[in-house]
Amino acid sequence: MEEQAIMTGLEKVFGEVFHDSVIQLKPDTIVSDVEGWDSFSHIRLVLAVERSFKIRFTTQEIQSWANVGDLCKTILTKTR
Amino acid sequence: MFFNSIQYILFLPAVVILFYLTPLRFRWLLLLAASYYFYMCWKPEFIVVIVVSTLINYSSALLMSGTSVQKRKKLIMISTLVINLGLLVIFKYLGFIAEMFQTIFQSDHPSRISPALLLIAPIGISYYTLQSLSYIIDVYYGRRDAEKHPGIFALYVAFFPLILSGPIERSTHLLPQLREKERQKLHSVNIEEGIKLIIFGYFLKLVIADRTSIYVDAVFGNLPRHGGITFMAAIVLYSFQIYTDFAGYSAIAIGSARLMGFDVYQNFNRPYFSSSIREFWTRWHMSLSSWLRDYLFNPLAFSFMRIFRKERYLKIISPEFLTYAFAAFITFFICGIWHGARLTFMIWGSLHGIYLIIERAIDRKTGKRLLNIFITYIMVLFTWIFFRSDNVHDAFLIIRTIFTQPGKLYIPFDSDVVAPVYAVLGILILLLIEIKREFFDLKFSFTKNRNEYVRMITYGLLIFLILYLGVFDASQFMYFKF
Repeated sequence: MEEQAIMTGLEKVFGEVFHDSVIQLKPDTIVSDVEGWDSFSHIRLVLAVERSFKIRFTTQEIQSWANVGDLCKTILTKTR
Repeated sequence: MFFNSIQYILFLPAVVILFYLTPLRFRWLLLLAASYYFYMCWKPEFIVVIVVSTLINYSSALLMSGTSVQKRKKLIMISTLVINLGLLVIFKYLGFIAEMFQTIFQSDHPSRISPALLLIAPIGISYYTLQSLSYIIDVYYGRRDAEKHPGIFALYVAFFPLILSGPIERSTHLLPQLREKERQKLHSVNIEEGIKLIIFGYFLKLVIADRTSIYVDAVFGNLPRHGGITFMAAIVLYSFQIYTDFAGYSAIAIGSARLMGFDVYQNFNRPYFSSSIREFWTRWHMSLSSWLRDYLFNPLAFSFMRIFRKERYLKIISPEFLTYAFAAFITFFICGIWHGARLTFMIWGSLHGIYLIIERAIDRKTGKRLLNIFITYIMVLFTWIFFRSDNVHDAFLIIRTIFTQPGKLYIPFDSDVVAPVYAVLGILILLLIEIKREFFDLKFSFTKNRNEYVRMITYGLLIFLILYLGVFDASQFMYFKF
């Protein structure tokens, strides 16, 4: 899967989790950039991303993310 | 040497002057020496615990970064966590654990706990342990490199403005600043902002917290004598006492660091104006709540997620909610224990955990902000009863009395009446400042006014209030004991 396709897919998932259809993600997007991104929505987000891309993250992977770019990289390596 | 002592008033400017006179490459040495001296003014022997903890964490991080074998890395990380938490347990919880075992196994033979088990916890151990743990975990997950300079790392652990009660810093935020040369240049704005924060901190501590404590201690020191109305007044005053005591300490800590150009995490953001408990925990003791979120709640949540998503028979409750509920409750239960080995703290933490779960389940959104602020404040107030009480029996006595025996409001006699009056006056001033910042835009500001005379008069007035209304007995800050 290409990076751009992953970003588009992520935007769709973010849109559903945060009820925001026009959400625009960049690799350096962080938690405070997205309204409503709190502890609970983070759990929902991780589960929704896993479902959407049909992958499973390890705790190590989840803990290493600092921004959306890191999340994208993990998906990239898992879908190759 | 506490922040509200004469020694600190002399120590801080001396360190700041020496800091700017010392060449940039030796500043870490000056600050480290000053930090160790500051800490040793309390009990010199406990510096050993800090040095040992520093050496262990410093070496572990280097060992982790030096290996590419994941299993080895994990083993080092877990062993270091166990050592750090072990030190915390030995000093802070051993007496409580021994007492608990004694109650369980020899309840009919009340014997004394061995004095050897009732150790005095080294002041600040709860804070610098969390700060060190975050560093080890960050290095393990690759969020930062291991610090190679032992002196800079030792300073990160023992930096004097933060060593006693935080704000709990992160290695990704404070450590790089200790190396930044540009940041450490003398800028008048840092000096002005630092002094402002320190003055505001003293106002909170000396005028509000220490005045309020006189009434609160009088009521809690003699529970059977008082009625429900007095308890309600004491709890409301206590809510401001604990807030201003810790926010005052934090402001002095942040201001002290700012004088030398360092930017330290904010700890409080007008917490009693929160519309929900969820919001409260983003505005109260922020450096601890964000620490708990990142290093406890998240790992717990992701572990529970693995378990709950497999449970397909859970039709009514979503795996997301179940994950959140378990992780939130455990996190806040531990948050309670972190404050001390007492059942009252565990109940306090558990109540906050339960509040968060209920709030998430019913998704309280009435749209009326003031009503939500009021409800949230009352909910927080209820938990302070447990937090302040010496034991669970006292807490329930207070709750029962509030509902069954209102009684008369206790008003101290003669000169003692001055304390609560000054306290209320201080609280009203604080509320006015906070209401303005919370609900009105900052177009007009006394403290950030462009006219320097307005700024000077404002701070002159604040200093006058501190000197006139403050309590000058160098009483301890409440959060030192946690």
